[in-house]
Amino acid sequence: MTGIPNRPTARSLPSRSNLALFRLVGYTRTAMSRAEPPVPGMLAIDRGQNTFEMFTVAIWVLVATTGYCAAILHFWIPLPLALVIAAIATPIVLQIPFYSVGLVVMPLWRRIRRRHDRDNVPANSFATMAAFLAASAWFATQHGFAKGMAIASLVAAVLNAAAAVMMWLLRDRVRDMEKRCAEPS
Amino acid sequence: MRGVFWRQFLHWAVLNVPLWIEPIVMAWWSLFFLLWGPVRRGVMHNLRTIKPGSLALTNFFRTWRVFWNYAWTITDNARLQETRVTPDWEFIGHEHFADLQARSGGAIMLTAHMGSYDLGAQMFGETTAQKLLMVRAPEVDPQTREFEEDLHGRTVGEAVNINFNTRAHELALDLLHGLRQGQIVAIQGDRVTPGVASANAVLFGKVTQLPTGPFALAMAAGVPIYPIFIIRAGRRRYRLVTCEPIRVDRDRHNRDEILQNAVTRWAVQLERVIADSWFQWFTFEPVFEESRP
Repeated sequence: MTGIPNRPTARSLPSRSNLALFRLVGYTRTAMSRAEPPVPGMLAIDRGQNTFEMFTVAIWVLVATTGYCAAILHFWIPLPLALVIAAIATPIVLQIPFYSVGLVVMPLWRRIRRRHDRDNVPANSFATMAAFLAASAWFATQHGFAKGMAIASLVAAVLNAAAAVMMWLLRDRVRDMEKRCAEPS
Repeated sequence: MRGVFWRQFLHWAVLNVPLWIEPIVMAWWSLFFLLWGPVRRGVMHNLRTIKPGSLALTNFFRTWRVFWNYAWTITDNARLQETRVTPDWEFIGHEHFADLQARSGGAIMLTAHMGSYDLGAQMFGETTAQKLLMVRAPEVDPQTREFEEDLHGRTVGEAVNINFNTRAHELALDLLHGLRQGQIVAIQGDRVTPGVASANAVLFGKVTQLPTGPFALAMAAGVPIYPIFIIRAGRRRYRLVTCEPIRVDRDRHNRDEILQNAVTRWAVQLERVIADSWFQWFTFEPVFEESRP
């Protein structure tokens, strides 16, 4: 199923979010809202539909990585200059993992495994997030202004893991809720 | 920037960029393409007429907003083609759209370079049993044309038939035949390409040219024209705006007058939609001739 009737309550369905934390929030919001008849239109069922989630994570990762880059540059240059350079360089730095994985690692991996699929998003997503969390773990052990952001990033990761456990426990209820929302009227 | 590389790069990106980094990548590439002088100047030129009295700096940032919306739109389209992931849809003027879907005879969907033409066609294909004939301007670059035709061949369902506008006369006959068979023809009516019949129309107080082909076709086939606009309402969310149909009466004696009248009605609707959603009018060439310096 890729599309369901456009019900305001169905906008927050867990299957429209990616991270467990946002799926849990989506489940709670949908469970607490009143059933409403559909309005003309269609809602897509895809893990990437939650705009709030994607922008929140993007902004958080951008700000934290800018902090990490500035912290490294601050070893050699004054902090204000380090922050300016980091702000310009970070959007490029963040693109390095998926270019590396997508252009080098995955084609090699496919050649070895003789696979012909082309979708690298899950692998790139994992590699980029792993690199970010590894950087956060390192900065969490250091002194300086990036330490707070690094700890907050790790706390968010732990909360997400806890939410994943809760979503697993709620899986039957979630399935029923999504089935109800997919009904035409 | 023509050439197949950018199309291939976009499709590669859709299959590689993590979704939670996408907003950063979009913002960065939109900024990068602001360096592309002719297109930036084209959009800023059009914005001077749409938003009279604006500062050049303001229009520079507005141009970035146009690029930002364009980046998301072409990405959503590429995503649909590569992974079959559709966006959310909502309707404005649903009564007119329902009327179009319920028609047993043919009709023309007249649209503009806004949102995504292909996403709209896909949505139409999923919600109606009628066959859709889409008319597209052909790609100038042969490799890009081959890439696009191959992609459409693989990804667009049987409900949608795409015609690349390479042989105007034969195409007109094909479309007329399709309309008489009860099919829906989708045409973009906000840009005049060389060799296409056009009429004067006033947009934002400036005289410009709009194509008369869709109106002549409607007159010959005796079908209504539904102005339809696909507006990007947010990330992976589109709004299909259907306006009241334009009917073009068949009258041999007043043909020019009737066509001019229909073009004027279309221009009024087009201006209203562009005024509201200027940041999604993906016309990168200067269209308002009189205001050219």
